Amino acid sequence: MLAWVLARGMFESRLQYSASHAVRTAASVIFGLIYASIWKGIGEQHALGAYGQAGMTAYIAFNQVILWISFTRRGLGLEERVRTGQIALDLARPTGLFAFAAWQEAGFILYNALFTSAPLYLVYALLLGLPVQRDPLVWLWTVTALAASAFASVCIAYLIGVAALWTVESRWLDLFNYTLNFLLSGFLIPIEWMPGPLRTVAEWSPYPLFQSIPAQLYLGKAGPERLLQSLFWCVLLALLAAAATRIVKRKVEVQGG
Amino acid sequence: MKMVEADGLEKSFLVPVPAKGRFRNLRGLFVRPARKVQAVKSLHFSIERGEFVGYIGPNGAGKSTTIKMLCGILHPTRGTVRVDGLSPQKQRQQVMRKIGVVFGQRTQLWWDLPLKDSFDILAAMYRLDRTHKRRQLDRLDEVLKLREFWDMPVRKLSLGQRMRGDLAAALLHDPELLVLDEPTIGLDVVAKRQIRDHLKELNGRFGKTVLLTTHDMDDIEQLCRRVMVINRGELLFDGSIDRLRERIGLPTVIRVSYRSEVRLPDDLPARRLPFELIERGPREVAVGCNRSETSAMDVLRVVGEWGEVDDVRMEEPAFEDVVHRVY
Amino acid sequence: MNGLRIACMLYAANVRARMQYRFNFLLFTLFASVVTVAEFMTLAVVLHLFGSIQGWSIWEIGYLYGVLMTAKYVYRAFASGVNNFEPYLVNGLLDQLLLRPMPLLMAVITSRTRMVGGELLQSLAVLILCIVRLWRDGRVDGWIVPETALAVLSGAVIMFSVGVATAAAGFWITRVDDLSVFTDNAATTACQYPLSLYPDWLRTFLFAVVPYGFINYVPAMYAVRGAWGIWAIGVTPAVAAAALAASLALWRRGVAKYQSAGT
Repeated sequence: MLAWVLARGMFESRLQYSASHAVRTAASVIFGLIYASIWKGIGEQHALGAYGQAGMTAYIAFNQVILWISFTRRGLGLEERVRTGQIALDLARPTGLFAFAAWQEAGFILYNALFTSAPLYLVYALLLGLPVQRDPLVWLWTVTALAASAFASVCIAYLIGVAALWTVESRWLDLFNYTLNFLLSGFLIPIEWMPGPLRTVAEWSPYPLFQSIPAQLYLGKAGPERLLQSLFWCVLLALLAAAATRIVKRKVEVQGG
Repeated sequence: MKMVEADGLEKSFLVPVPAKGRFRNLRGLFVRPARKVQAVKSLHFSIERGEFVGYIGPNGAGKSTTIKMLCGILHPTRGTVRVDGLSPQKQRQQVMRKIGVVFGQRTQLWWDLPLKDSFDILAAMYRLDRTHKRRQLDRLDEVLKLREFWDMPVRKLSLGQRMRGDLAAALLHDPELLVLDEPTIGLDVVAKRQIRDHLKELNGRFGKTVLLTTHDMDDIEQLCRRVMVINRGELLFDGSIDRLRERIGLPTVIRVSYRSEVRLPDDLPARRLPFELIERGPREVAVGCNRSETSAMDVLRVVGEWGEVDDVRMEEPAFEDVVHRVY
Repeated sequence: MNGLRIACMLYAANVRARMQYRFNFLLFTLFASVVTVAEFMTLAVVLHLFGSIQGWSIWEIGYLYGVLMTAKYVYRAFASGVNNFEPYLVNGLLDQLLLRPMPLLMAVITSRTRMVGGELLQSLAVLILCIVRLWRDGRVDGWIVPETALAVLSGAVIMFSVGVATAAAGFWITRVDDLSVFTDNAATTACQYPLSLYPDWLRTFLFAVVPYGFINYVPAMYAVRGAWGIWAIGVTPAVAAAALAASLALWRRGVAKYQSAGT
């Protein structure tokens, strides 16, 4: 099946970069330890709400683990394809541009999941006592949330790639997206603890999908009703992506690729 | 003192060999087998001041490696090279003040700034005072006519203009040796001729020693009095163009057209003729031979047997083909 | 000194080249500021929530942040070419730079200039604000100004040295942009908070391997917390000098290797 071939192709090309990936995993562990230490230090003098010290450590650790699942290539490489004119070929394919780009990215994400997230999970379970959940339902909700997170991430990257065709280079939009993600996804601080206005902005954004929702589901701090928020954003972003594809098609036809 | 002197110059690289086998990706993480590749094998040559030398060879022959060693970018594995008596490896900065380098594919100029800014910067880097810079630019302008596009950003210049700018940049600090790596690549015929004229003048009028690497044989024919041919890291030939021609012989193509159908004898390959059959049409053949070995009469005698000869034409080979035979 | 004049000229040329693309230039300034503000906001939210961390007050932690980030942007202003070094190795730019009549490191540093205006302003603002507050609370006296200046300048040298060492590693392993996430990003993030928070081995790392701990924590322990003696002020410049010497030696070895082996 074409999608499988695409994903596998991406997967294998990633296998080439094993050395830098090892460094990246190590760096991820360091960052996790840094944040966990900070929260531990805070926890010595302050109560940490519903999480407690152990809970915050687990929260930070799990966020580090799943970080790589929502990590995509900038603008899904669309800008480059437009520059080289390959986009015309992509649009002519029966699979459709979005599916094509998304499946390629799926291979990339799968690689990250297997070779970065999984080892990190083990490391954190051993090093920081990240709880290994036994309840299959918890795993079900978490994995669903992660699938939604990956999908949403791909959609956003796609929209960035498309937007870059008219406006600024994709790296600015990507940087902007990254910054918002960093601030609003609950990566370092649970969203419930953010000051009022910031919290409101975060909860109305898609960013909790990437960290907060999966982490809360995994740690049992929220129930599966949170997945409704994931679903909502996935549907919305998919619709936007479809609209974006149509716009790209029209632009390429008009410009001649 | 000679301008350039290479003695037993050698350069080997360790090239990683991609692992094979089932767990090649995993193994590649830990062990990277490598094999030794000799890019340059013991070169001996010297270049006097004022010479215009062509340095040719197929891709991967070792030309750019030689040039990099000349400029001090690479250290030789063995042997030495000296530029005006100095070692590019030990005294790189001093040597670079005596050399001007132009890479055809890459520019030394500042891409986004007007051309004149590049010269201001280079003058500062080479510590040229204002009068020297002015004087040198005036002299270069006579030859290269830079004033026309002095204020334009380099990225907006045509390839020919940019090449002229690069030549000026390479000569701003008045080096004695000019090293050119494919300077005419990508230029149209008119621009090529202009650049060649400029180079001729720079060599003739200003007495610059020039080492020119190129794939364009017209460059060689029109500019160089001396040619060095390198292939697979070895210097195959070092001498004048005429001697090069002599050495390869005079390969010629003789085209014979016939009044009727050409009838080639059946045992043609077995005959061991002193020429080779290049082309064959219904009423025409083209044969290649080396006229320093075989006379035209001998050839005609044989091909005359194949039919009624109508017309005979001789083609002098392109210099390109001549040289390829040395490879 | 002549070398300085040449360097300034090259910096100016880089800036002018950037400004040709006005749109991109403005965007970069804008987005760079957004990123730094976001980073700072995380810290600010944490402090806002909890008021103090392990006995370090908001202003003390803000001081740590201010010294560190100001040092970082001073370093970036002068030597950002060293920071993203991988492209130089991969794209053959080093050969071109070796043609220039100056040491390779100088050519690398002057080949690219990063605009740090907005970010530098922000970190200075935080630093000055915290110093003022600490002074008003009677925690520090007038000496804090020269002490901080020394810390910032030494810090810039330490960060530069680590940057050079990381870049030099590229002559052996090539993929140094990943390594610098380690030696630059991770170390910087960690040192924004008091080092007493971290396990022993990490603290040792931040003193012995990537000595960012000397940039803000050590001076602050004397100047702001009054916990350590005056030697704490002198140690940072000493570490900076040693780090610089070591990294330059590594760089020289790396260049020699590059010239023997090529790419």
